[in-house]
Amino acid sequence: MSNALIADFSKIHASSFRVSCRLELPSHGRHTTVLFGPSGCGKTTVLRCLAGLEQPDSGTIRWNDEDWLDVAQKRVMTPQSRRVGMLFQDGALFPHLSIGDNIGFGLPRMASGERNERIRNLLQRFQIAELIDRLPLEVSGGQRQRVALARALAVRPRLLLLDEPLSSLDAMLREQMRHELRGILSECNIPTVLVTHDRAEAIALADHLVIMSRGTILQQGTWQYVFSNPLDLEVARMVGVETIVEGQIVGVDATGLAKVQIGEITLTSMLPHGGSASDSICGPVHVCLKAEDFVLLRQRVEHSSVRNQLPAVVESIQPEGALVRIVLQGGFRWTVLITKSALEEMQLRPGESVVAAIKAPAIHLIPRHPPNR
Amino acid sequence: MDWIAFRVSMQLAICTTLILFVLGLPFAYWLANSRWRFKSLLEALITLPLVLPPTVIGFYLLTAFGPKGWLGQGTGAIFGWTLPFRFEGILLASVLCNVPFAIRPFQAAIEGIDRQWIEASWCLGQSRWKTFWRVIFPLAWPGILVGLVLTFAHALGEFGVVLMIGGNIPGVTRTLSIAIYDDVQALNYEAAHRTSLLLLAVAAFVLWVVQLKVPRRKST
Repeated sequence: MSNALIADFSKIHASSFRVSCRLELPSHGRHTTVLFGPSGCGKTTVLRCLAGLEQPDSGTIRWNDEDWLDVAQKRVMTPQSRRVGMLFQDGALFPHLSIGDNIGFGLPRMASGERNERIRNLLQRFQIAELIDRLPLEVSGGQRQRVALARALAVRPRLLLLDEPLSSLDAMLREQMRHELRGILSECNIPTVLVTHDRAEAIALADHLVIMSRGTILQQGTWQYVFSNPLDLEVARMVGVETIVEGQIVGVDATGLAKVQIGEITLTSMLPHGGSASDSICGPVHVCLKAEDFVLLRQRVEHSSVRNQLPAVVESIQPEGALVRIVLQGGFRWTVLITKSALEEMQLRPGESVVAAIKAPAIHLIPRHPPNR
Repeated sequence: MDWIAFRVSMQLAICTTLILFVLGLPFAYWLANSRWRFKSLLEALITLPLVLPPTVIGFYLLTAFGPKGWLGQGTGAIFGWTLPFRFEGILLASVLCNVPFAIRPFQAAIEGIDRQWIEASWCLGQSRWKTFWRVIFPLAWPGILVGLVLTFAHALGEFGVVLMIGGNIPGVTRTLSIAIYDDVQALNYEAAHRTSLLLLAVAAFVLWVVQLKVPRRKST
Protein backbone atom coordinates (compact mmCIF):
# COMPACT_ATOMS: atom_id res chain seq x y z
CA MET A 1 0.00 0.00 0.00
CA SER A 2 1.44 3.34 0.97
CA ASN A 3 5.17 3.80 1.47
CA ALA A 4 4.84 6.21 4.29
CA LEU A 5 4.71 6.75 8.01
CA ILE A 6 1.36 8.29 8.76
CA ALA A 7 0.85 9.52 12.30
CA ASP A 8 -2.21 11.21 13.65
CA PHE A 9 -2.49 11.13 17.41
CA SER A 10 -2.80 13.22 20.52
CA LYS A 11 -1.68 12.91 24.10
CA ILE A 12 -2.13 14.95 27.26
CA HIS A 13 1.29 16.38 28.00
CA ALA A 14 2.76 16.44 31.51
CA SER A 15 2.16 20.17 31.77
CA SER A 16 -1.50 19.50 31.04
CA PHE A 17 -1.81 20.79 27.49
CA ARG A 18 -2.68 18.46 24.65
CA VAL A 19 0.00 17.44 22.19
CA SER A 20 -1.52 16.67 18.84
CA CYS A 21 0.42 15.52 15.86
CA ARG A 22 -0.52 14.95 12.26
CA LEU A 23 2.50 13.89 10.25
CA GLU A 24 3.23 12.07 7.07
CA LEU A 25 6.69 11.19 5.90
CA PRO A 26 8.19 8.78 3.37
CA SER A 27 9.24 5.43 4.83
CA HIS A 28 12.10 4.91 2.38
CA GLY A 29 15.22 6.75 1.42
CA ARG A 30 16.88 9.85 2.70
CA HIS A 31 14.46 12.35 4.13
CA THR A 32 14.79 14.41 7.28
CA THR A 33 11.77 15.82 9.04
CA VAL A 34 12.63 18.40 11.68
CA LEU A 35 10.27 19.14 14.55
CA PHE A 36 11.15 22.67 15.53
CA GLY A 37 9.84 24.58 18.52
CA PRO A 38 10.69 25.99 21.94
CA SER A 39 11.55 23.71 24.87
CA GLY A 40 8.52 22.09 26.41
CA CYS A 41 6.31 22.46 23.33
CA GLY A 42 5.73 18.71 23.11
CA LYS A 43 8.05 17.85 20.25
CA THR A 44 9.95 15.26 22.29
CA THR A 45 6.61 13.73 23.28
CA VAL A 46 5.81 13.29 19.58
CA LEU A 47 9.15 11.58 19.05
CA ARG A 48 8.66 9.28 22.04
CA CYS A 49 5.20 8.33 20.81
CA LEU A 50 6.70 7.42 17.43
CA ALA A 51 9.30 5.27 19.19
CA GLY A 52 6.63 3.56 21.28
CA LEU A 53 8.10 4.79 24.56
CA GLU A 54 4.96 6.75 25.32
CA GLN A 55 1.35 5.93 24.58
CA PRO A 56 -0.89 8.51 22.95
CA ASP A 57 -4.42 8.85 24.36
CA SER A 58 -5.98 8.61 20.94
CA GLY A 59 -5.10 8.21 17.31
CA THR A 60 -3.11 5.99 14.99
CA ILE A 61 0.41 5.50 13.72
CA ARG A 62 0.88 3.46 10.56
CA TRP A 63 4.15 2.38 8.97
CA ASN A 64 3.44 1.20 5.42
CA ASP A 65 0.98 -1.61 6.06
CA GLU A 66 1.88 -2.12 9.72
CA ASP A 67 -0.20 -0.74 12.54
CA TRP A 68 2.22 0.68 15.09
CA LEU A 69 -0.61 2.11 17.09
CA ASP A 70 -4.34 2.13 16.93
CA VAL A 71 -5.79 3.33 20.21
CA ALA A 72 -9.39 2.60 19.20
CA GLN A 73 -8.50 -1.00 18.30
CA LYS A 74 -6.22 -1.28 21.37
CA ARG A 75 -3.32 -2.24 19.14
CA VAL A 76 0.15 -1.12 20.22
CA MET A 77 3.43 -2.33 18.84
CA THR A 78 6.29 -2.43 21.36
CA PRO A 79 9.37 -0.27 20.82
CA GLN A 80 11.33 -3.50 20.31
CA SER A 81 9.36 -4.54 17.24
CA ARG A 82 9.06 -1.11 15.62
CA ARG A 83 12.75 -1.27 14.72
CA VAL A 84 13.47 2.41 15.10
CA GLY A 85 16.81 3.91 16.02
CA MET A 86 16.48 6.39 18.86
CA LEU A 87 19.18 8.88 19.74
CA PHE A 88 18.73 10.46 23.17
CA GLN A 89 19.70 13.99 24.08
CA ASP A 90 22.89 13.05 25.91
CA GLY A 91 23.50 9.76 24.15
CA ALA A 92 22.35 7.40 26.92
CA LEU A 93 25.39 5.17 26.41
CA PHE A 94 25.47 2.18 28.77
CA PRO A 95 28.09 3.24 31.33
CA HIS A 96 29.14 -0.31 32.21
CA LEU A 97 29.96 -1.34 28.64
CA SER A 98 32.87 -0.39 26.42
CA ILE A 99 32.25 1.72 23.31
CA GLY A 100 32.52 -1.42 21.16
CA ASP A 101 30.02 -3.32 23.32
CA ASN A 102 27.69 -0.34 23.30
CA ILE A 103 27.61 -0.32 19.51
CA GLY A 104 27.14 -4.09 19.38
CA PHE A 105 24.48 -4.07 22.12
CA GLY A 106 21.55 -4.54 19.76
CA LEU A 107 23.16 -7.51 18.00
CA PRO A 108 23.46 -10.21 20.68
CA ARG A 109 22.34 -12.99 18.39
CA MET A 110 24.72 -12.18 15.57
CA ALA A 111 27.81 -14.40 15.12
CA SER A 112 30.68 -12.68 16.91
CA GLY A 113 32.84 -12.38 13.77
CA GLU A 114 30.10 -10.63 11.85
CA ARG A 115 29.23 -8.44 14.81
CA ASN A 116 32.82 -7.33 15.32
CA GLU A 117 33.06 -6.57 11.63
CA ARG A 118 29.99 -4.35 11.79
CA ILE A 119 31.21 -2.58 14.93
CA ARG A 120 34.58 -1.92 13.32
CA ASN A 121 32.98 -0.58 10.14
CA LEU A 122 30.79 1.81 12.08
CA LEU A 123 33.67 2.99 14.26
CA GLN A 124 35.73 3.66 11.14
CA ARG A 125 32.92 5.49 9.42
CA PHE A 126 32.54 7.75 12.44
CA GLN A 127 36.31 8.09 12.75
CA ILE A 128 36.41 6.87 16.33
CA ALA A 129 38.13 3.48 15.80
CA GLU A 130 40.59 4.14 18.63
CA LEU A 131 37.77 4.35 21.19
CA ILE A 132 36.62 0.73 20.88
CA ASP A 133 37.83 -0.37 24.34
CA ARG A 134 37.12 2.86 26.22
CA LEU A 135 34.23 3.35 28.61
CA PRO A 136 31.59 6.02 27.89
CA LEU A 137 32.85 8.15 30.80
CA GLU A 138 36.22 8.38 29.09
CA VAL A 139 35.08 9.94 25.82
CA SER A 140 34.19 13.54 24.97
CA GLY A 141 30.70 14.90 24.31
CA GLY A 142 31.05 14.89 20.54
CA GLN A 143 32.45 11.37 20.51
CA ARG A 144 29.65 10.23 22.80
CA GLN A 145 27.00 11.40 20.33
CA ARG A 146 28.85 9.71 17.46
CA VAL A 147 28.92 6.44 19.39
CA ALA A 148 25.23 6.78 20.24
CA LEU A 149 24.39 7.30 16.57
CA ALA A 150 26.58 4.37 15.56
CA ARG A 151 24.81 2.20 18.15
CA ALA A 152 21.40 3.19 16.79
CA LEU A 153 22.50 2.51 13.20
CA ALA A 154 24.11 -0.85 14.04
CA VAL A 155 20.75 -2.61 14.20
CA ARG A 156 19.80 -1.24 10.75
CA PRO A 157 16.69 0.64 11.89
CA ARG A 158 13.88 1.53 9.52
CA LEU A 159 13.42 4.99 10.97
CA LEU A 160 15.84 7.18 12.85
CA LEU A 161 14.60 9.39 15.69
CA LEU A 162 16.96 12.05 17.00
CA ASP A 163 16.06 13.95 20.16
CA GLU A 164 18.04 17.22 20.31
CA PRO A 165 21.17 15.30 19.30
CA LEU A 166 23.52 18.28 19.48
CA SER A 167 22.05 20.32 22.33
CA SER A 168 24.39 18.89 24.98
CA LEU A 169 27.47 20.04 23.05
CA ASP A 170 29.15 23.43 23.29
CA ALA A 171 28.59 25.97 20.52
CA MET A 172 31.79 25.38 18.54
CA LEU A 173 31.45 21.63 18.54
CA ARG A 174 27.75 21.87 17.74
CA GLU A 175 28.46 23.67 14.49
CA GLN A 176 31.04 21.12 13.44
CA MET A 177 28.82 18.18 14.39
CA ARG A 178 25.92 19.72 12.51
CA HIS A 179 27.82 19.42 9.24
CA GLU A 180 28.95 15.93 10.14
CA LEU A 181 25.43 14.84 11.03
CA ARG A 182 24.17 16.20 7.73
CA GLY A 183 26.74 14.07 5.90
CA ILE A 184 25.89 10.98 7.91
CA LEU A 185 22.15 11.36 7.43
CA SER A 186 22.46 11.74 3.68
CA GLU A 187 24.82 8.76 3.57
CA CYS A 188 22.77 6.31 5.58
CA ASN A 189 19.63 6.68 3.53
CA ILE A 190 17.08 6.25 6.32
CA PRO A 191 14.07 8.48 6.93
CA THR A 192 14.77 10.58 9.99
CA VAL A 193 12.77 12.65 12.43
CA LEU A 194 14.84 15.15 14.36
CA VAL A 195 13.73 17.33 17.25
CA THR A 196 15.46 20.65 17.87
CA HIS A 197 14.96 24.15 19.22
CA ASP A 198 18.03 25.42 17.36
CA ARG A 199 17.14 27.39 14.23
CA ALA A 200 20.51 26.81 12.57
CA GLU A 201 20.16 23.08 13.12
CA ALA A 202 16.69 23.08 11.60
CA ILE A 203 17.88 24.96 8.53
CA ALA A 204 20.95 22.77 8.08
CA LEU A 205 19.16 19.45 8.36
CA ALA A 206 15.49 19.78 7.41
CA ASP A 207 14.01 18.52 4.17
CA HIS A 208 10.65 19.03 5.77
CA LEU A 209 10.17 21.46 8.63
CA VAL A 210 7.41 21.13 11.20
CA ILE A 211 6.89 24.11 13.50
CA MET A 212 5.41 23.24 16.88
CA SER A 213 4.24 25.34 19.79
CA ARG A 214 2.29 24.40 22.92
CA GLY A 215 1.53 20.94 21.57
CA THR A 216 0.22 21.91 18.16
CA ILE A 217 1.75 21.95 14.73
CA LEU A 218 1.54 25.53 13.51
CA GLN A 219 2.94 25.09 10.03
CA GLN A 220 4.92 22.62 7.95
CA GLY A 221 6.74 22.62 4.63
CA THR A 222 10.26 23.03 3.29
CA TRP A 223 12.27 25.31 5.57
CA GLN A 224 12.78 27.81 2.75
CA TYR A 225 9.04 28.11 2.34
CA VAL A 226 8.18 28.24 6.03
CA PHE A 227 10.92 30.73 6.84
CA SER A 228 9.86 33.15 4.12
CA ASN A 229 6.10 32.57 4.40
CA PRO A 230 5.23 32.23 8.09
CA LEU A 231 1.52 31.60 8.47
CA ASP A 232 1.08 33.69 11.57
CA LEU A 233 2.83 35.95 14.00
CA GLU A 234 4.01 33.15 16.26
CA VAL A 235 5.68 31.24 13.44
CA ALA A 236 7.23 34.48 12.17
CA ARG A 237 8.76 35.09 15.60
CA MET A 238 9.93 31.48 15.90
CA VAL A 239 11.67 31.43 12.54
CA GLY A 240 13.48 34.59 13.56
CA VAL A 241 11.91 37.41 11.58
CA GLU A 242 13.63 40.35 13.30
CA THR A 243 11.13 43.05 12.49
CA ILE A 244 7.37 42.60 12.58
CA VAL A 245 5.37 45.84 12.34
CA GLU A 246 1.70 46.52 11.99
CA GLY A 247 0.62 47.94 8.66
CA GLN A 248 -2.34 48.33 6.39
CA ILE A 249 -2.85 47.17 2.83
CA VAL A 250 -4.24 50.27 1.17
CA GLY A 251 -4.47 49.07 -2.40
CA VAL A 252 -3.40 46.68 -5.12
CA ASP A 253 -1.76 47.99 -8.26
CA ALA A 254 -2.41 46.86 -11.84
CA THR A 255 0.42 44.27 -11.76
CA GLY A 256 -0.98 42.65 -8.61
CA LEU A 257 1.45 44.14 -6.08
CA ALA A 258 0.17 45.36 -2.72
CA LYS A 259 0.67 48.85 -1.39
CA VAL A 260 1.27 48.64 2.36
CA GLN A 261 1.12 51.64 4.61
CA ILE A 262 3.18 51.71 7.82
CA GLY A 263 2.61 55.09 9.43
CA GLU A 264 3.80 57.64 6.89
CA ILE A 265 5.67 55.09 4.77
CA THR A 266 4.29 53.11 1.88
CA LEU A 267 5.90 49.82 0.85
CA THR A 268 5.39 47.70 -2.24
CA SER A 269 5.10 43.99 -1.58
CA MET A 270 3.60 40.75 -2.82
CA LEU A 271 0.05 39.93 -1.70
CA PRO A 272 -0.39 37.81 1.41
CA HIS A 273 -0.30 34.10 0.72
CA GLY A 274 -3.57 32.91 -0.80
CA GLY A 275 -4.84 36.46 -1.34
CA SER A 276 -6.35 37.49 -4.66
CA ALA A 277 -5.81 40.84 -6.34
CA SER A 278 -9.17 42.29 -5.37
CA ASP A 279 -9.86 45.20 -3.08
CA SER A 280 -11.21 42.82 -0.43
CA ILE A 281 -7.60 42.03 0.44
CA CYS A 282 -7.22 45.52 1.88
CA GLY A 283 -7.00 45.58 5.64
CA PRO A 284 -4.64 45.34 8.60
CA VAL A 285 -1.55 43.12 8.27
CA HIS A 286 1.65 42.22 10.08
CA VAL A 287 4.60 43.20 7.90
CA CYS A 288 7.55 40.80 8.29
CA LEU A 289 10.95 42.22 7.41
CA LYS A 290 13.93 39.92 7.66
CA ALA A 291 17.16 41.70 8.59
CA GLU A 292 19.32 39.92 6.02
CA ASP A 293 17.04 40.91 3.11
CA PHE A 294 17.94 44.60 3.33
CA VAL A 295 20.60 46.39 1.26
CA LEU A 296 22.00 49.65 2.67
CA LEU A 297 22.77 52.57 0.36
CA ARG A 298 24.34 55.96 1.06
CA GLN A 299 21.67 57.62 -1.07
CA ARG A 300 18.66 56.86 -3.17
CA VAL A 301 19.43 55.26 -6.57
CA GLU A 302 17.37 55.89 -9.67
CA HIS A 303 16.49 53.22 -12.22
CA SER A 304 16.87 50.21 -9.95
CA SER A 305 14.90 46.98 -9.81
CA VAL A 306 14.38 47.28 -6.08
CA ARG A 307 10.87 48.54 -5.27
CA ASN A 308 11.39 49.89 -1.79
CA GLN A 309 13.97 52.46 -0.73
CA LEU A 310 13.43 53.72 2.81
CA PRO A 311 15.34 56.72 4.16
CA ALA A 312 16.41 56.15 7.75
CA VAL A 313 18.79 57.17 10.52
CA VAL A 314 21.27 54.72 12.08
CA GLU A 315 20.35 54.22 15.71
CA SER A 316 22.87 51.61 16.81
CA ILE A 317 25.54 49.29 15.41
CA GLN A 318 26.24 45.93 17.05
CA PRO A 319 28.82 43.41 15.74
CA GLU A 320 27.57 39.82 15.59
CA GLY A 321 30.19 37.37 14.36
CA ALA A 322 30.97 38.04 10.71
CA LEU A 323 27.90 40.26 10.49
CA VAL A 324 26.83 43.57 11.96
CA ARG A 325 23.37 44.23 13.31
CA ILE A 326 22.21 47.76 12.57
CA VAL A 327 19.05 49.24 14.02
CA LEU A 328 17.44 51.91 11.87
CA GLN A 329 14.78 54.48 12.61
CA GLY A 330 12.71 55.86 9.79
CA GLY A 331 9.09 56.15 10.78
CA PHE A 332 9.37 52.83 12.57
CA ARG A 333 12.33 50.92 13.97
CA TRP A 334 13.79 47.93 12.13
CA THR A 335 16.91 45.76 12.07
CA VAL A 336 19.30 45.20 9.19
CA LEU A 337 22.16 42.69 8.97
CA ILE A 338 25.17 43.49 6.78
CA THR A 339 28.71 42.13 6.67
CA LYS A 340 31.56 43.66 8.62
CA SER A 341 33.44 44.51 5.44
CA ALA A 342 30.40 46.34 4.07
CA LEU A 343 30.21 48.42 7.25
CA GLU A 344 33.91 49.33 6.97
CA GLU A 345 33.48 50.33 3.32
CA MET A 346 30.44 52.50 4.07
CA GLN A 347 31.98 53.88 7.28
CA LEU A 348 28.57 54.12 8.89
CA ARG A 349 28.20 55.71 12.32
CA PRO A 350 25.21 56.09 14.59
CA GLY A 351 23.21 59.21 13.78
CA GLU A 352 24.00 59.16 10.06
CA SER A 353 21.39 58.91 7.33
CA VAL A 354 21.14 55.90 5.03
CA VAL A 355 18.69 54.40 2.59
CA ALA A 356 17.55 50.81 3.22
CA ALA A 357 16.40 48.94 0.14
CA ILE A 358 14.30 45.77 0.07
CA LYS A 359 12.73 43.91 -2.87
CA ALA A 360 8.99 43.51 -2.93
CA PRO A 361 9.02 39.66 -2.79
CA ALA A 362 11.16 39.74 0.39
CA ILE A 363 8.38 41.44 2.34
CA HIS A 364 5.97 38.96 3.82
CA LEU A 365 2.48 39.98 4.91
CA ILE A 366 0.36 38.15 7.47
CA PRO A 367 -3.30 39.26 7.68
CA ARG A 368 -4.01 40.47 11.23
CA HIS A 369 -7.41 38.82 11.33
CA PRO A 370 -6.97 35.67 9.30
CA PRO A 371 -10.31 34.91 7.61
CA ASN A 372 -10.02 31.11 8.11
CA ARG A 373 -9.73 31.20 11.91
CA MET B 1 34.06 -22.67 69.87
CA ASP B 2 30.72 -24.20 68.98
CA TRP B 3 31.34 -25.31 65.39
CA ILE B 4 27.93 -27.00 65.15
CA ALA B 5 26.25 -23.69 66.02
CA PHE B 6 28.55 -21.98 63.51
CA ARG B 7 27.38 -24.42 60.81
CA VAL B 8 23.71 -23.81 61.61
CA SER B 9 24.22 -20.03 61.56
CA MET B 10 26.08 -20.15 58.23
CA GLN B 11 23.42 -22.39 56.75
CA LEU B 12 20.70 -20.06 57.95
CA ALA B 13 22.45 -16.92 56.63
CA ILE B 14 23.26 -18.42 53.22
CA CYS B 15 19.77 -19.85 52.69
CA THR B 16 18.11 -16.60 53.81
CA THR B 17 20.29 -14.56 51.44
CA LEU B 18 19.65 -16.91 48.51
CA ILE B 19 15.89 -16.96 49.03
CA LEU B 20 15.69 -13.19 49.34
CA PHE B 21 17.86 -12.80 46.23
CA VAL B 22 15.66 -15.05 44.11
CA LEU B 23 12.29 -13.81 45.41
CA GLY B 24 13.26 -10.29 46.41
CA LEU B 25 14.82 -9.15 43.16
CA PRO B 26 11.72 -9.55 40.97
CA PHE B 27 9.60 -8.14 43.79
CA ALA B 28 11.88 -5.10 44.10
CA TYR B 29 11.79 -4.66 40.31
CA TRP B 30 8.01 -4.70 40.44
CA LEU B 31 7.98 -2.19 43.31
CA ALA B 32 10.38 0.10 41.47
CA ASN B 33 8.15 0.18 38.38
CA SER B 34 4.70 -0.13 39.92
CA ARG B 35 2.21 2.70 40.14
CA TRP B 36 -0.18 0.66 42.25
CA ARG B 37 -2.38 2.68 44.57
CA PHE B 38 -1.45 0.75 47.69
CA LYS B 39 2.24 0.58 46.91
CA SER B 40 3.21 2.86 49.79
CA LEU B 41 1.24 0.68 52.21
CA LEU B 42 3.10 -2.36 50.92
CA GLU B 43 6.41 -0.54 51.32
CA ALA B 44 5.52 0.30 54.92
CA LEU B 45 4.73 -3.38 55.56
CA ILE B 46 8.06 -4.42 54.06
CA THR B 47 9.91 -2.01 56.33
CA LEU B 48 8.01 -3.14 59.43
CA PRO B 49 10.51 -5.86 60.51
CA LEU B 50 13.15 -3.13 60.75
CA VAL B 51 11.39 -1.54 63.73
CA LEU B 52 9.37 -4.43 65.14
CA PRO B 53 11.07 -6.49 67.89
CA PRO B 54 12.02 -9.90 66.44
CA THR B 55 10.31 -11.52 69.40
CA VAL B 56 7.00 -10.05 68.23
CA ILE B 57 7.47 -11.54 64.76
CA GLY B 58 8.51 -14.79 66.40
CA PHE B 59 5.48 -14.79 68.65
CA TYR B 60 3.03 -14.32 65.76
CA LEU B 61 4.80 -16.93 63.65
CA LEU B 62 4.67 -19.34 66.56
CA THR B 63 0.94 -18.84 67.06
CA ALA B 64 0.27 -19.11 63.31
CA PHE B 65 2.52 -22.07 62.58
CA GLY B 66 2.23 -23.92 65.87
CA PRO B 67 0.27 -27.19 65.97
CA LYS B 68 -2.83 -25.23 66.98
CA GLY B 69 -2.37 -22.33 64.55
CA TRP B 70 -4.36 -22.36 61.32
CA LEU B 71 -1.22 -22.32 59.14
CA GLY B 72 0.38 -24.94 61.38
CA GLN B 73 -2.57 -27.25 60.90
CA GLY B 74 -2.11 -26.77 57.16
CA THR B 75 1.56 -27.70 57.18
CA GLY B 76 0.77 -30.52 59.57
CA ALA B 77 -1.79 -31.95 57.15
CA ILE B 78 0.50 -31.59 54.12
CA PHE B 79 3.98 -32.44 55.46
CA GLY B 80 3.19 -34.22 58.67
CA TRP B 81 5.19 -31.69 60.72
CA THR B 82 4.91 -28.15 61.97
CA LEU B 83 7.51 -25.38 61.65
CA PRO B 84 8.46 -24.68 65.28
CA PHE B 85 11.67 -26.35 66.47
CA ARG B 86 12.79 -27.09 62.91
CA PHE B 87 15.41 -25.50 60.65
CA GLU B 88 12.68 -24.70 58.08
CA GLY B 89 10.92 -22.75 60.81
CA ILE B 90 13.84 -20.52 61.71
CA LEU B 91 14.60 -20.10 57.99
CA LEU B 92 11.09 -18.77 57.32
CA ALA B 93 11.37 -16.47 60.34
CA SER B 94 14.79 -15.27 59.27
CA VAL B 95 13.59 -14.56 55.72
CA LEU B 96 10.67 -12.49 57.04
CA CYS B 97 12.87 -10.53 59.42
CA ASN B 98 15.36 -9.77 56.68
CA VAL B 99 12.90 -8.62 54.01
CA PRO B 100 13.68 -4.90 54.53
CA PHE B 101 17.44 -5.47 54.54
CA ALA B 102 17.25 -7.01 51.06
CA ILE B 103 14.32 -5.40 49.31
CA ARG B 104 14.86 -1.75 50.25
CA PRO B 105 18.43 -1.63 48.85
CA PHE B 106 17.38 -3.66 45.78
CA GLN B 107 14.51 -1.28 45.08
CA ALA B 108 16.65 1.83 45.63
CA ALA B 109 19.30 0.45 43.29
CA ILE B 110 16.80 -0.32 40.53
CA GLU B 111 15.04 3.02 40.95
CA GLY B 112 18.38 4.78 40.70
CA ILE B 113 18.95 3.64 37.14
CA ASP B 114 18.38 6.31 34.50
CA ARG B 115 15.26 5.44 32.54
CA GLN B 116 16.98 6.43 29.29
CA TRP B 117 19.29 3.40 29.50
CA ILE B 118 16.32 1.10 29.78
CA GLU B 119 14.51 2.80 26.92
CA ALA B 120 17.66 2.77 24.80
CA SER B 121 17.86 -0.99 25.30
CA TRP B 122 14.22 -1.44 24.28
CA CYS B 123 14.77 0.64 21.14
CA LEU B 124 17.73 -1.59 20.31
CA GLY B 125 15.31 -4.51 20.19
CA GLN B 126 16.03 -6.01 23.62
CA SER B 127 13.07 -7.48 25.51
CA ARG B 128 12.24 -6.46 29.08
CA TRP B 129 13.80 -9.69 30.35
CA LYS B 130 17.04 -9.15 28.43
CA THR B 131 17.09 -5.49 29.38
CA PHE B 132 16.89 -6.53 33.02
CA TRP B 133 19.90 -8.84 32.82
CA ARG B 134 22.00 -6.77 30.40
CA VAL B 135 21.33 -3.25 31.71
CA ILE B 136 19.42 -3.07 34.99
CA PHE B 137 21.14 -5.88 36.88
CA PRO B 138 24.75 -4.89 36.10
CA LEU B 139 24.06 -1.23 36.81
CA ALA B 140 22.14 -1.97 40.02
CA TRP B 141 24.66 -4.58 41.16
CA PRO B 142 26.47 -2.44 43.76
CA GLY B 143 23.13 -1.73 45.46
CA ILE B 144 22.00 -5.33 45.13
CA LEU B 145 25.27 -6.48 46.67
CA VAL B 146 24.72 -4.12 49.59
CA GLY B 147 21.31 -5.72 50.16
CA LEU B 148 22.73 -9.24 50.01
CA VAL B 149 25.59 -8.47 52.37
CA LEU B 150 23.36 -6.73 54.90
CA THR B 151 20.95 -9.65 54.79
CA PHE B 152 23.73 -12.17 55.26
CA ALA B 153 25.31 -10.30 58.17
CA HIS B 154 21.98 -9.72 59.87
CA ALA B 155 20.82 -13.32 59.41
CA LEU B 156 24.10 -14.62 60.80
CA GLY B 157 23.48 -12.95 64.15
CA GLU B 158 19.72 -13.53 64.36
CA PHE B 159 18.64 -14.19 67.94
CA GLY B 160 15.17 -13.26 69.09
CA VAL B 161 13.07 -14.74 66.36
CA VAL B 162 15.18 -17.90 66.21
CA LEU B 163 14.78 -18.43 69.94
CA MET B 164 11.01 -17.92 69.70
CA ILE B 165 10.49 -20.30 66.77
CA GLY B 166 13.40 -22.70 66.92
CA GLY B 167 14.24 -23.00 70.55
CA ASN B 168 17.70 -24.31 71.26
CA ILE B 169 18.33 -27.64 69.56
CA PRO B 170 22.04 -28.25 68.82
CA GLY B 171 22.67 -28.87 65.12
CA VAL B 172 19.17 -27.83 64.14
CA THR B 173 18.18 -24.44 65.56
CA ARG B 174 21.00 -23.52 67.92
CA THR B 175 22.70 -20.57 66.20
CA LEU B 176 25.81 -18.64 67.28
CA SER B 177 23.85 -15.95 69.10
CA ILE B 178 22.00 -18.58 71.10
CA ALA B 179 25.28 -20.32 71.84
CA ILE B 180 26.64 -17.06 73.25
CA TYR B 181 23.56 -16.62 75.39
CA ASP B 182 23.90 -20.17 76.70
CA ASP B 183 27.58 -19.71 77.42
CA VAL B 184 26.95 -16.54 79.38
CA GLN B 185 24.14 -18.23 81.32
CA ALA B 186 26.60 -21.01 82.20
CA LEU B 187 29.21 -18.38 83.17
CA ASN B 188 31.44 -19.76 80.39
CA TYR B 189 32.76 -16.31 79.46
CA GLU B 190 35.74 -17.57 77.53
CA ALA B 191 33.61 -19.42 74.95
CA ALA B 192 31.21 -16.47 74.76
CA HIS B 193 34.17 -14.18 74.03
CA ARG B 194 35.42 -16.36 71.19
CA THR B 195 32.02 -16.59 69.51
CA SER B 196 31.28 -12.91 69.99
CA LEU B 197 34.63 -11.95 68.52
CA LEU B 198 33.91 -14.10 65.47
CA LEU B 199 30.52 -12.44 64.91
CA LEU B 200 32.06 -9.01 65.47
CA ALA B 201 34.81 -9.73 62.94
CA VAL B 202 32.37 -11.04 60.33
CA ALA B 203 30.04 -8.06 60.77
CA ALA B 204 32.89 -5.54 60.56
CA PHE B 205 34.34 -7.21 57.47
CA VAL B 206 31.00 -7.34 55.75
CA LEU B 207 30.25 -3.67 56.41
CA TRP B 208 33.70 -2.76 55.13
CA VAL B 209 32.92 -4.63 51.88
CA VAL B 210 29.67 -2.68 51.64
CA GLN B 211 31.53 0.62 52.08
CA LEU B 212 33.90 -0.34 49.27
CA LYS B 213 31.07 -1.24 46.94
CA VAL B 214 28.69 1.61 47.65
CA PRO B 215 28.67 3.75 44.52
CA ARG B 216 30.29 7.08 45.28
CA ARG B 217 29.34 10.27 43.51
CA LYS B 218 31.78 10.71 40.71
CA SER B 219 32.81 14.20 39.72
CA THR B 220 32.78 14.57 35.96
